[in-house]
Amino acid sequence: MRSSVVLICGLLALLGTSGAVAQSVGVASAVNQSAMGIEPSKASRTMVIGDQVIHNEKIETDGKGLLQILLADGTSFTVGPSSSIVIDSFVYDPSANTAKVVATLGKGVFRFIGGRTSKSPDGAVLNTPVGTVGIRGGISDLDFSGHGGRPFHIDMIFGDSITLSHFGQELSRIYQSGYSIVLGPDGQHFTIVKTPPGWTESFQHALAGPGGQHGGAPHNSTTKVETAFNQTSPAPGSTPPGTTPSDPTQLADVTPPNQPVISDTTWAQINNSDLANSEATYLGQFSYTLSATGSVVPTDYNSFTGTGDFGLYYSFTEHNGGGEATFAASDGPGGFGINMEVPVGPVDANSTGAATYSGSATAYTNVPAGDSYIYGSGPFNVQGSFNNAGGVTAGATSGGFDYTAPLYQGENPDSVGTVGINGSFTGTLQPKNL
Amino acid sequence: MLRARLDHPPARLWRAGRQILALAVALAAALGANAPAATAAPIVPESLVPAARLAPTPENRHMLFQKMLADPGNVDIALQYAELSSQAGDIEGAISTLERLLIFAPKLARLNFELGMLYFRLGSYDVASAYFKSASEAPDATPELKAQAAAYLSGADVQTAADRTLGSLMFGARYQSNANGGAGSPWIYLNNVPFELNSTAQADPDANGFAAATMHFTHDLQSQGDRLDADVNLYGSLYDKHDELNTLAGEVQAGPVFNLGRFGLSNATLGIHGIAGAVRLRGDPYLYTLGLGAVATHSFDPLTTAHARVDFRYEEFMDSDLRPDVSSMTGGRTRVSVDVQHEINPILSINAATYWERKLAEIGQDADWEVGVTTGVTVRFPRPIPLGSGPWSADLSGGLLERKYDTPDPTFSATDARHDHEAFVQGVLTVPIAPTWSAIATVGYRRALSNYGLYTYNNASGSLAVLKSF
Repeated sequence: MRSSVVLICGLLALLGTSGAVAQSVGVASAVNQSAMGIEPSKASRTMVIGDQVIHNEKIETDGKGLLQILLADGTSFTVGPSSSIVIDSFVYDPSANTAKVVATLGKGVFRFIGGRTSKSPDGAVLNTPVGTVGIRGGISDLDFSGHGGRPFHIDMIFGDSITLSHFGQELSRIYQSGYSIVLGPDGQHFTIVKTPPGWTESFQHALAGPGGQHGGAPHNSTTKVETAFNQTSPAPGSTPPGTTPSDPTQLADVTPPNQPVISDTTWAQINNSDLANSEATYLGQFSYTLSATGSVVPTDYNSFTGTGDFGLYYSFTEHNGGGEATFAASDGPGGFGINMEVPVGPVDANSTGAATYSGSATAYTNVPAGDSYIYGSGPFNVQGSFNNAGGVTAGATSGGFDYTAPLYQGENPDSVGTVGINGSFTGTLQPKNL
Repeated sequence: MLRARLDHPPARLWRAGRQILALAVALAAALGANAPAATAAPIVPESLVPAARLAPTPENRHMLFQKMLADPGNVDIALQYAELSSQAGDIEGAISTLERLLIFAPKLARLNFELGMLYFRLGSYDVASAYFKSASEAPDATPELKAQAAAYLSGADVQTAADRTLGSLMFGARYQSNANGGAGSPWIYLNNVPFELNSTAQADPDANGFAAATMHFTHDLQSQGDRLDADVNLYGSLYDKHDELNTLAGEVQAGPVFNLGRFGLSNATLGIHGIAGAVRLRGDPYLYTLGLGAVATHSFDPLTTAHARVDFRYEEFMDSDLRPDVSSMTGGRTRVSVDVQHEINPILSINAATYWERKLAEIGQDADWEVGVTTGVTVRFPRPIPLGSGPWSADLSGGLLERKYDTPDPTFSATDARHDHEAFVQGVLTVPIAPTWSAIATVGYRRALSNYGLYTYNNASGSLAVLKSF
């Protein structure tokens, strides 16, 4: 007997007070309100992000609702406004790398993105108002809303094939991306057409959601997304993306340093002769060596501070047609800011925390091509805190980082070279409650 | 007649032209028109990867996915997972994740742009276009991003147009140490008797100017991937000294291509085409060709594609004053070939091919079997000097072939049929000098060995050319 475990529904959750076991088939990975979940024989509930989606639970969205359901194999359903869906069954066998999902789609609009389900034979079966849809390998849009006068249609965005059948009889089949199965005006017959561009755009708008909502994610998450994808003009004081993991991984005494990420967009900004008023933010994340001496702090909340130096440098073989490079900064004449948040901890298995690094530097200008230069240097401060639950010692901290990245060619084709940032610091680990 | 055959061995005259034309076709295909290269574009830009870099191993992806399931609102994990998914080739996984972020923040230009890039890479050009339009219309769209989106929109329009035409023009100059493919030694043996070749049959360097034109036309039949394709390839050359090598040649192939998805074979096509061609040497008609062919194409994944091809050409060679006995080579030529290309990463690609060819002729000494293998590697790299408008690419290829004729040529031997072996290497440097212009430098070396001394030779060559793609 195969030792692998077949994950039925991926997760099991004990819900309710009756002791009944409800099978979770996935998670609500994004929710714009409102979406309601109606479990069999139970009262309806308002879905929020992170909620488990239960086997046979009917999920309905209202006119503004938007929901993404993520299954354990990577399959996802994005459910548009005024739509309903039931995950009838989901079976995932990680060891065999196979999965099967059966879902019932009611009215509304849906985007299906297959994980293992669509790569498995008969792995994705969708019962729809127009018949049973089988999807092989890819992405499909399904529109049963009737909005805009559009007929019910099933679009193959990417993949191998989509079949539409009724009581086992194949009614229609697509095997080329960019085509749609369309229900005819008589409600009986189907045709296959090239997907009109207007349908695709309507789908995009329906599934992106309106502005002003954030998918149920914490507001700071939304800010992170906005910052991450809007780095050319980061909001003042905004947190650089990805610098505050909510689930820090082990970091104590970690070497070598992780690599800070240097933004190509940032480089395009600073290596532009007409950006006198622009900003440059370096996004970085690195680990450091934490060495400590002194008394052992068994438990309590701790912090540390430190100072150090960093340098920003680059080396290029050419730029701006071989002339001189110029960059300026927003933090006053000849300076630019560096703002990095560095995850800290756990310094042992039970510790978590975060640290912030900030500093400023003086920028140089008019560097001739072909030379390597330290472009800026200056002091920075490090502050951090962590919840020490496992015996971290007080004392000195020290660390460093050094990272070089190639210039991003696409942003500035006239520049070829590397850009880097390095630094080191020393500090003191300060137990708060000795 | 014997004198002419020894002075102007005909079989290799057109070979140089075919090599140049093949190069032009390959370069035109590689350079494309103005459509951006989807595979060269970053899936999720490095700037969006927030945390320590993880290798795109199944273990790391599984770890991140489990974290994502547990904490779907965590943007950092989502970005990491999207990046690793794209690196691992799971573009659907990256799309699913970024579309979730789009629910978090729907009006961001950059996020819409990245999703457009992902769909563009999948070949889902309509969806890609919708995202590029959203990116351009977003309130935070910068002029640079709008320009990039417009370029990709243009590329998507080209890809989705019912009728598409791609082509190239190539002009250049070439030098060969042995332009006429002459024997390396003035003495050969004819039936074991030493024979001194005329100087015209001996290796002689020469330079030539050449021009090559290619055109590829596609008409979408609007039936789930079926289409009509037509290819036109033209080549001409003028030599400094050896005007007998002046060449004018052309070939047309046209026919339908069918999507084999209808038979359950995904990402596969079968094309059937007719072939017509002609070659003139020094103004004299030399060769007329009519034929049929079929080519099966299969993409194993977005980065690996293979072709299997069979072509039959009936070749009619025309005698002339300079070549009075070439008509004996008239007959059918059947060629079966298989090739595969794989893009290891946006920087490095590899390819390999093998073929088998059967040439029939009116007399056995002109009929032969031929087999060959070739392999090559292409490297794209940042320009090392401030010349050009983008990354350069270097191709290095090499190959071996063996050719064996049916019967002895009594001029050379009463008992032994001709038996050749050849090897070649070639390097090509492509320098984009403008959006649709490239400079191309080529160097090559070919070594041919034959039991008939007339056909043993070396040839080193170098060329410089300019290619305009459209």
